[in-house]
Amino acid sequence: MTTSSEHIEELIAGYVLGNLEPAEAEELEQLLARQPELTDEVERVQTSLGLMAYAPQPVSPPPRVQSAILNEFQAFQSSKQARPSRRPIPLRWSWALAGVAAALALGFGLDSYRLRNQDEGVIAMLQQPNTRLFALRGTGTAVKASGGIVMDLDKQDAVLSVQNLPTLSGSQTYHLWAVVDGEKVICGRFKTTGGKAVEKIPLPPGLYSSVVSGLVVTAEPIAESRSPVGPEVLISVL
Amino acid sequence: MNSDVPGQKQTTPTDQQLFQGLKAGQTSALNALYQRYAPIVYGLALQILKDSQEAEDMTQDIFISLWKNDAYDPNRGALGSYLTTLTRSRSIDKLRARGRKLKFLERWSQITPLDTGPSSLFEQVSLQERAERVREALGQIPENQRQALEMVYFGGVSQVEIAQQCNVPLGTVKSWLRLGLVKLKQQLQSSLGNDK
Repeated sequence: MTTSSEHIEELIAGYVLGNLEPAEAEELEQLLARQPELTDEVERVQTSLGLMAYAPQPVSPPPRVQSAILNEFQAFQSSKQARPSRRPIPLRWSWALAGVAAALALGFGLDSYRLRNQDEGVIAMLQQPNTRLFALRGTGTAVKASGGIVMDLDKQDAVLSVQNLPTLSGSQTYHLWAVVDGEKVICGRFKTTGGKAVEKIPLPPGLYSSVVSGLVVTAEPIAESRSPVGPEVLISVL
Repeated sequence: MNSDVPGQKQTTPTDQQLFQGLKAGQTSALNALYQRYAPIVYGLALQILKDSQEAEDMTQDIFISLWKNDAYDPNRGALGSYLTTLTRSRSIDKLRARGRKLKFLERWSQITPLDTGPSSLFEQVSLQERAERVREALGQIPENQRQALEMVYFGGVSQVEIAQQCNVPLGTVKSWLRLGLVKLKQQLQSSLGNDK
């Protein structure tokens, strides 16, 4: 079976634009599996869309913008010198959050050592009323993978921790999706080092009022996919 | 703050070098990056927001993000792509905050600056030349396709809204966008020769 090159181009454009129908997404997924070299084309189309940002006429901002930026920069530099380490946190909290981080690590298979770097964020999140916790388990080619996510829907932040994910090649990128009304909605993207990742991910504003029924992580062939065509590697456990 | 090698002709520092300088606290590196990119960032924010005060604030926020949040990782893509991608997505977010009701699934501002793709030959041509080539390429696209792309890219307008505004079926808008993007890619590719 051959597919015309025009049709493939349109499917790829639709993928980059995020306007593929489910059947088309499936068709493209199969095409990419058969012809992995098409990933390069996906990247080219994506780059082309991004280059539209250069179309508007450049306009020099008023001088006050530069002054304001410089002031911020200098203030940042002097605060860095005055305070070489990270922001101190009150002792009470550091004890409390070490406990929370440990509890999360046990309960959700998180990597507690690396999580400690995120603990300020986690503790703040756990104090919020609209916080959700999800455990993730591996699936497909990544059955050994596991992880967890703390989501604060009010602050629109999430901290994700995953481990044992397969290493991706080239521009392949892990994408986190929320399942809303049976549809997968993009939440964020991340890369792994040694199969692991601990990342703070800003959630899209639209999730605020949505009912999230689950989470899925897929390995997408490009850096910024808007509809999932890659295989699922992690799914949330209810 | 170039560490000029004796005997070597002074060349314009690359984005990477300037970014390293900025991370090291060099004001001169920040100034040079500002001169290079502020007009692009501000012009893009102005195009989307249509409000000079908001565009000024946006420009400030975007530059501050370069040192404050460690949001930019040079290994993940070119600085120009990072700055423009972030400017666009934050400006579209701002538009939405003004009350534009965009259906979440059809939103286009999902381009987070995590990865801005590989740097291509395009990153090497001057910024001015890049802008000219993009404008030229857009000029070659049939009117309705180009307008649909621009509405989506600079206006954060959903496909459904475009269909309503233009009084055409949704399927037509989808194919305008796809064909327009295919054409844009072809034009940009031919303006770059056969490289990538």
